[in-house]
Amino acid sequence: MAGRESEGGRLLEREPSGPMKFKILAFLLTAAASVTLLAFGLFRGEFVKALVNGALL
Amino acid sequence: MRRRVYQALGAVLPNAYVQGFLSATLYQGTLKGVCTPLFNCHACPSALFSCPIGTMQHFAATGKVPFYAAGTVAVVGASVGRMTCGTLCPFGFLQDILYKIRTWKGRLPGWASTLRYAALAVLVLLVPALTHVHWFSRLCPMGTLGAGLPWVTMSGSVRAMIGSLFWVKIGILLLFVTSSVLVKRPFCRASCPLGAIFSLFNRSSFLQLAWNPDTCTRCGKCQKICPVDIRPDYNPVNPECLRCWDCTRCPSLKMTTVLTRNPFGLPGMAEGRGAEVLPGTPAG
Repeated sequence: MAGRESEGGRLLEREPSGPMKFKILAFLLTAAASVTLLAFGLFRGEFVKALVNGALL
Repeated sequence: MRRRVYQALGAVLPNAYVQGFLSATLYQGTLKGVCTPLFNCHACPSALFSCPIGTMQHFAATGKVPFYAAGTVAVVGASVGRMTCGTLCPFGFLQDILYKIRTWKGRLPGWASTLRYAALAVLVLLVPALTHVHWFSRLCPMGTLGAGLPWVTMSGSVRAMIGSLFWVKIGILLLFVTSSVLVKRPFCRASCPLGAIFSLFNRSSFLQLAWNPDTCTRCGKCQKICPVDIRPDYNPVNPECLRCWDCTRCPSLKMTTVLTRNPFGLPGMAEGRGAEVLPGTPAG
């Protein structure tokens, strides 16, 4: 248990705020790229093409 | 138990067009334009929504880039990672139920998880783009279960078209059904192209799994209850993780978000604890 605590302690010491900021940045970039992709697809009228394909028209 | 309710809803609600079975017709309303983040065949008589993989494949076969379908999957992935695989997917639900059957149990080799990326790249995108034929849909076990078998049962004209490909499809379905009894979620881990896309988002999604190294005893119970047989304590952002949250029954694992600074509310902890891999531990 003491070993685990020291492992956790080392992790805490090595990690001030960098990984947290990196995670938020990574999420924001991913979310922005995903929304852009979806919006561009909708702008190109792909919703109707998906409907036509899905309904096997 | 709550996850089973969600999974049942994930199986029933996207297939709520019961009239399709009664009149042997497909739903052709506006909802069919919406891609569900689930592995649910849009050729099923009762399907209300489109399959994102089927839509991507259709675009690839017609030489176009599937921005809308990929964007829909990406938005869901960026929000919850692979959570829809673990909590809503009907085919995942079926595999979970089949694994409950008491018999000899085995394990899938680690390299098998790379096959789903190959299925996405080759069968969903590359081969349809080159041959203009929807090869993944032709072989998809969910398509056979949700569309092939019902249509063959309901329609004499479809029955008359049965050829060797139909029996190949049945064989693939039987392979995954029987292997689901023996190993945890073989299709999700080794073949699902939708899961392959969602896997890419586990590391950067809004919802995250946090792990507390100070309270974890490394007992391995999390792996026993995990539907994909991984150790979340080795790597909480594992691309295999379905975000089913079953392992959060253990107090050392918790559902959190990228914005949560101290998911376990531990005193004196700096920001960013949790969702981390301990140095020196093998990637799960």
